[in-house]
Order: sequence, then structure tokens, then C-alpha cells
Amino acid sequence: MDWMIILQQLVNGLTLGAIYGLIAVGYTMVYGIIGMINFAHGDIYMVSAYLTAICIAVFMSWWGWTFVPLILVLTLIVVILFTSLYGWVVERVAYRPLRGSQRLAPLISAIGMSLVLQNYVQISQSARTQGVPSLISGHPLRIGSEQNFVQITEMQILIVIVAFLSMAVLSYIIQATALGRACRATQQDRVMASILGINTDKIISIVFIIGAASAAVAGVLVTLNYGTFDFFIGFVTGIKAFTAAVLGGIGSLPGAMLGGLILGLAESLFSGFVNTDYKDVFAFALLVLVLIFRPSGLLGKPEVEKV
Amino acid sequence: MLDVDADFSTKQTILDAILAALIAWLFFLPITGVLLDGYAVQSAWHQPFVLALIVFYARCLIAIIVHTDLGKRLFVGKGHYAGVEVVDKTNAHWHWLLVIVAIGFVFPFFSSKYWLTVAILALIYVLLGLGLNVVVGLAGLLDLGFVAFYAVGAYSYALGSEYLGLGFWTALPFAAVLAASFGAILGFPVLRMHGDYLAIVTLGFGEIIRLILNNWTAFTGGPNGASAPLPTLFGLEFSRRAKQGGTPFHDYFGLDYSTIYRYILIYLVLFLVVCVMTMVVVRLRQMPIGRAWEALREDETACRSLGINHVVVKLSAFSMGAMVGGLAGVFFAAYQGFINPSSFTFFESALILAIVVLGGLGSVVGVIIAAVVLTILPELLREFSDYRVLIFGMSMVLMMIWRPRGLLPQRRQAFRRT
Amino acid sequence: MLLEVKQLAMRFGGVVALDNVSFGVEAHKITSLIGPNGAGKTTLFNCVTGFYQASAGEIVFYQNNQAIDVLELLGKPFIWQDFVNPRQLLRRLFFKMLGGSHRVNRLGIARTFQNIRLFRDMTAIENLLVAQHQYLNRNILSGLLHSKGYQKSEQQALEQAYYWLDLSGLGDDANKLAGQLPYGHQKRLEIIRAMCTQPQLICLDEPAAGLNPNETAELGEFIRILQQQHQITVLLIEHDMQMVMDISDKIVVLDHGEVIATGGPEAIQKNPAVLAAYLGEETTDKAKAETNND
Repeated sequence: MDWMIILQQLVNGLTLGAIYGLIAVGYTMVYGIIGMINFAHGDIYMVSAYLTAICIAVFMSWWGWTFVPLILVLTLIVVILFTSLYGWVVERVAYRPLRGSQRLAPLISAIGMSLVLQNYVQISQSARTQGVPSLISGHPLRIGSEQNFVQITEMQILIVIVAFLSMAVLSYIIQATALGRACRATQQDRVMASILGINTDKIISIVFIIGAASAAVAGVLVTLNYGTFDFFIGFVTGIKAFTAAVLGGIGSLPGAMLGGLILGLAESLFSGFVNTDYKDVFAFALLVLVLIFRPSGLLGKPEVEKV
Repeated sequence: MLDVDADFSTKQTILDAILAALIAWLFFLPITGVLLDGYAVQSAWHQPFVLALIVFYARCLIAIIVHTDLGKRLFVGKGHYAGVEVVDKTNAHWHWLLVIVAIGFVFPFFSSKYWLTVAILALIYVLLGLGLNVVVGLAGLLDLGFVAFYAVGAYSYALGSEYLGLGFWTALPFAAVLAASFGAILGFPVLRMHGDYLAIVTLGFGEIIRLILNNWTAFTGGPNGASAPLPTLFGLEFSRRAKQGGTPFHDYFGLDYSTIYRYILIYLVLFLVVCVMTMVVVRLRQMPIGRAWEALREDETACRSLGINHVVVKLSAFSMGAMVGGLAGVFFAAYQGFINPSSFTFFESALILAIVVLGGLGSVVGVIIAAVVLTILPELLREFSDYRVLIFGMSMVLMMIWRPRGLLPQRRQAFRRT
Repeated sequence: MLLEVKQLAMRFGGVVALDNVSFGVEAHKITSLIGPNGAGKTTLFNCVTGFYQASAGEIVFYQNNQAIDVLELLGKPFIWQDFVNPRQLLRRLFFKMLGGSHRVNRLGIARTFQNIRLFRDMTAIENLLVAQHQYLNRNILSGLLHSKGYQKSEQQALEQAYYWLDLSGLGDDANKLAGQLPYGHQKRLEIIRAMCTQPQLICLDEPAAGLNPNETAELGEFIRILQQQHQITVLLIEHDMQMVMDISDKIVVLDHGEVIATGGPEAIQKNPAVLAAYLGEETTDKAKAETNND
């Protein structure tokens, strides 16, 4: 076995993992606070990919901008804002009216919401595969000899840097600000938090918005990296990001990142050395196995059944 | 008719509606207002405005309606128990039932081929709805991978005939048993999980099975699919010329060749199976096992404290649902004559779930009506076919908010002293 | 002796909820478990009824002069000796796969819950029929065909259910949804639902919580009836001291996860350790101070 190939897969896996980690943040935080899976989260990510392409097209072909860094930064900001709005609407429509109803109701309404988002994008933007022009295309970094090298693209470096920066900002917000404190309090005990004067409805909305915002970052990065997307990408990526969240321990922010990295590495090693066709099967199987054998994940606390 | 009560404030309503419309405009702006066209975009500024306007009027209308008497009856008092009633068992409707069954049996002899195929599809969805209703509606297990068992049924007929030489009649029990065992094997490890995890794991299983069908080209034919033979009747075949060593049906009876005969046969068998399955599900609901399913949906911990093995009970519901799904799969394969993995995507699972939700979780009659309506309606409204999934999704959200127990009130049988 | 708890310990992560708890429950008697909030009463209940797997110790249930290890039914973790003793390995594997709290109930230990856990959307009588699941004809075929044996078994279950409803004064509520009954009725329904599993020992977790004094008195009466006329052994957690002192044959006092006193009602009322636990540290400090002054 060639070390360079393994290294290359590790580099690819790290990039992929950073993306999964960012999307997993939305699952893990929402689950932490309301104890439910946000089934529409993958589609929020899908919407952010469309928003990225729309932004870039508006900036470049309408307004004729050419300065790439400005385009990228503004795209990132605009996409985060609009995607946050989508996250907020999902919570407002599919979750808030059902607070306190039976267990299945919010799950089903969230699945309905996921179908609505997919079909809404499909109808508005057509079912075609869409794309963005490649904006970052410098010379990739090559380490090794002529025939035998590891290639790192600028985009990959950007992805890892942006992903870790976003995670650092998020961790700061959750650990060190008043808002973060309110989030953690609501996560621990919603009733008690509301007695102490925290507007828990608002906190839950904010958590959905934070989740959507980090999915938006992932959406921008993935769209710039791969260039193409369609209205169905949210489904598979959503399940995989959820796998990452469970793997790291659902409810735990560092767990989401760790789970994302492990899943990304495992997936790219699997597709590099075993079989590319079955890489999705591998990820789903991993999800099933983790849920059976270690449902609390790597960093999560084991759940004690309340009787 | 629209007499609003004292709490109603016109100003507040309009302010609320304006806010909602503003948010809606922002929400719709990028996706519906700017359309991607290659790397360029086209504007469609009117679309977000129209949608925002719709939201404005809808918001006003809802605000007015909830303040009227009619609205209060419809929306308020939707508390935990609205929608369940306890009734004494009566046989008052049995003659209507007989009429419906009789119509069902003579229908194919008067129907056009087109409506016959629509009816077959509707009945397949009735069957799928009945199966998923046991799992989701009665046992309360949200199974998002139900389509996997449908696929197992369909492929066990297609591949069974290819590799084992199974005919339609042997494939029916074979597929039922195979799908039920699949349900049991998949179910055993995952049924200890609680609601949300179960949903996502079944979703994962559904996708795994579809991906395997798609990628294992040597065995399943991959994306090109596999063909399923036509059903036979006592050795009579329904193709133009006998291929399976029998006599063609039309030759035997001296009729002109027509493809409608095969659909009549499939329809009649399917209708019989649907009738039997409906009866089975209705009876099961009143049997110890059905009561245990419902008890499990209500409170799993309490079930365990009463000596009920929750894993076994869940497993029985899961396998029962899988078996019915497998049967539906055989009919689907026989009706299409050809299957490929694209018929078994998550959308299909979501569609079946929509049927169960709209029919009312747990209600057998409701699910049958919902399945028939949801299959026939898209046929009648062809021009809206793009909006099908959108409407299903929206109705799932609205149903959960407004009538989580379905449009028809649920009925429970009373047990009187003897 | 019907049930014996020996050196039971329960830890959640680093928190010790129960430590070295030992006591016995005598057959056909009412034993009460009392103690301040957070003393570990409900945890102990959950261990005895098989909802928690105790970290250490033993719970033994005596049935037909046979001692049965309750913890084994829940599926204990493997130990290395299993792998040299195939019979023990198989047994352990069996309980790991098919064991669980439901087996504890089938053994004859029934329970109620602190916050009522009825099947709210099912009728009262259906709640009682579900509880008789083990004793019904569960053959799918005879049920689908409504065979004679099936009808007879359903009939008997219905009679049994009505018997309990009448005894507890809930006869008129038979066909109402359990979740719609008044609170007091729900509490009683939960007790008779547990009785429908035909247990030898019934564990009641704060049955009088939320009831008014009249209802509490009625409940005490009802528990007495269960014990005297139906030869049931009762293990009770209760905060209402009046009721505990009235009906208990034996009282076990828990504090900070340890048994601090055991005995009859009179003895417990006079026990200084119990008084200290209930009235707080001040009393002991004061007592100490007084001794010092002397």
C-alpha cells in the first residue's frame, strides 16, 4: 500500500469531515435543546447551496463584479442571513405550534417540511443540476515526487480554515456569552430556565438559526468546492451529518466536529481502498451500528431512562 | 356568518399580517425571485410579491376565522382528547360494506384499461397504507424506510422468477414471508431505540437496501432493473403467445387478444387480498396483540411494568407491516412487468406516510380513503402534478398542527358487562 | 420472607444513589419505604422492579420456596467464568437477548409510577385488558377466526377487569378514556391495572400524592383490602406519614442512599436517627451542643 495515497485520502477526508461537522452542529444543537431530530436540516443546507449560486451569479453576471475576495465574503454573509431566515421559519411553522403534543407529531411535520422545501426549490429553480463558476483555481499544493504526490487544493485549505474558525466562534458563543449560557440552561431544563426568566421560545428559535447558519457556511464551501448541486443533495448529506452528530455524541458541540472528522476520514478511506459505489451504504451502516452499540456517542453522556 | 367576537382587533390583525407578509417576501425573495440560468440569473420579481400577498390574505383570513363561532368549533378545543370517541360495536353499516365490496368485484368488467390500472395502483397504496398504519398508527413506531419491504417484495418476485423459477402464485407467500423475516431481522437490533433514532435508522436501512439494489448489478440488474413475468391463471398465460409453457388465455376462451385481461386478473386478486388484509387488521386491533401495540404507542415503560416484552411486541408490528408491504411489492412488480430501484426512493416512503397521516394514524377506514383519494386525485389533476409533493408535505404539516388524529374522529370499541 | 435486598448499590456515573442497602419484605405484609426527598427511594424501587440495573448487590425473590435472582433476569454483563461454563453462558445470553423489566413483572412483582403512566388514549377497561396480556389466548389464528377458546379467554379477561373496576369503585368509568378520568380515579386505575397482572408483590410509588385527606383515607383502606383479602404483599413509598403509620407493618427509612432505620411504626417514630434525617442537621447539632453543655 502506498503511503501517498493514504495521505491523499486523509486530506480529502479531513475536508469532507469539516463539512459534515459544520452541518452536524445544527442536528446536535437542536437535539440538545428540544430532544428532536430536525428532519428539515439537510434541506436547509440544500437551500444554502442554491443561495450561494444565486448570490455569485447576481454579483458577477448582473453587477459585473470581478474582485473575488469581496464576492466570497459578501456571498458568505448574505447566504448566512437568508439561510438563518429559513431555519427560523422551519422552527416557527413545523415545531413551535406542536410544542407539548405527542411524540410523533413534530417528527412528521418536520418530514413534511423537508418535502415542502425540496419541492419548493425544485419548482422554483427547476430540477436541473445547477452550478457555479470556479472562482478559486490557483495551483494546488503538491508534496512528494513527480509521480507520487499528495495534492492539496487552495479550496481544501480554505474549507478547513473556515470550518474550524466557525467552530471556534460557535464554541465561544456557547461557552462564554450570556446567550450561550441561556442556551445551555434551556438545554438542561427548559421549565426551570423559563421560570428563571429566560424566553425559551426565543432561545429555541436562536438555536435553529445558529444551526442554519453553520449549515449555510457548509453550503457555501461545498458549492464553491464541487461546483454542482441539485435539489436533492440535502437528503444524503443530511443523514451523513446526522451520523456525525450521533458518532460524536448528540448534544455535544465538540462531539459534532469530532464525529464529522471521523466520519469524513472513514468515508474517504473506505471509498479509496474498498469500494466507491458503497460509500453511502458504509456511512448508513456506521449510523446503524453506532446507534445500536454506543447511542451516547464518543463525547455524549449516557442517557438514564426516567421512570 | 363571519361575526367576529369582541377580542378581534382589526388593527392588530392587519399589523400581524403585514409582518407575516414582509417575512414571507424575504423568505421567497432569493429562491423564487432570482432564477438560476447556467452561471447567470433571470429575475422574476413578481413571484415573491404574489406569494407574500397570498401570505398576507391567508394570515388575515385565519385571524378572522378563529374569532368566529365556526372557527372556534373547528380550531379551538383541539385539546388532547378531541377526535377520539368510544362507541358500541354495531353492525349497522354491514350492508353498505357489502355493496362496496360487490362494486369492487364487478368494477373491472366495466372499466376502461386506463382506469383499471389507476385502480390497481390505488389498491397497491391501500395495501401499503394498511401495512404502515400497523407500524406507525398502531404501534407508534415511525418507520421511514417502509419502502424497503415494498422493494423486497417486488424484487423477490422478479428475481425469484429469474433465478428460482417462481410464478406469481408462489411468489405471493414467498415474498410475504421473506419481507416479514427481513422486518424481523432489521427490527431486532433497532427496536430498542426510541422514536427519533428509530425513524432515522429505518430511513438509513431503506436507503441501504435501495443502494444495494442499485449497485449489485450482477444479481439485481442494477439501475437497469429486472423484469417480472406476467401472472398466470391455472396455467393460462396472458401474453400474446405462450412463453411459460402454457396456453394463452385468449386462445383458450376464443377471445381476441387484449392486455386488459391480465390487469383484470391482477385487480381481482389484489382486491381480494386488500379485503382480507383489511379484515385482518381490523380484527388484530381488537385482539391482545393489537391492544399491546396501542399500549406500546401510549407508554412503553408502563407496558414493560405489565410484563409485556416490548421488543417482541414491536417486532410483531414491524414484521406484520413488512409482510403487507412485501405483498404490495409483488403486485407492483406483476402490474409493471418491470422494476428498478428508482421506484423505491425515500419519496415513496414519504408518500405512504402521508397517506397514513392524512387518513388518521391508526384508522383503517381513513387510511383506505386517503390512499384512494391520493392516487386518483393526481390522475384527475394532471396539470398540478409538479405540485404533488409540495401539497403532500404541506398537508402533513397542517394535519399535525390542526388534526393530529386525522380528519375522521377515531373510534374505540366499548366493552360492556355481560 | 418474599423479597430480600442485600447490599444493593446503584451508581450513576460518579453519583452514588444507593449504597449498601439491605432489607427484607415479609409476605402478606405492608412494608413502607420512607425518607426525605432525594434519599433514593424511587431509585431503589426502580432497581427492585427491574427498571434500573443495580451496580452491585443482590435482589432475591422467594417463590414456591425457591430463591430467584432478580438481577439475573435483566441480563447481567458477561464475566470470564462464563466462557468456561457453557450452560451459564447460554443462560446469560438468553437473558441478555430476551431479559428485561417485563420478566420481573412476570415473576410476580407489579408496580405503579410516581407520575401516572396510564395508556391515556385507551379506555379504562382496555388498560386492564392489556395488563392481562400474559394470561390471554394470544394465538393469532384463533383470534382472527374468533375461535371458542379465544372468545372464552377474552370473556374471562373482561370479567376479571370488571371485578377490579367494581372493587375500586370505578365501574362507571369502564368505557371512558383513561386520560380523561379525574386524577384520583387515574391513581386507582393504575393500581388495579398492576393488580391485573396477578402479582404477589405490588410496589406503589407515592399513591397518595396529590390526593385530598378523604381520598387518602379511602386509598389506605383499599390497600388494606388488597393485603387482607387478596393476600398481596405491598411495598410502599409514601410521604403522607399519617397513612404510612396507619397501614404499615414495617417501615424502612432511607437517607442519602443508605438504610438508617428499620422497624414497626412506633419504633420508627421514636428513632433519633430518623428524626435527625427528617428535621435536618440542626437537631443533631443542637443535641450535640446540649450534651456538651451538660
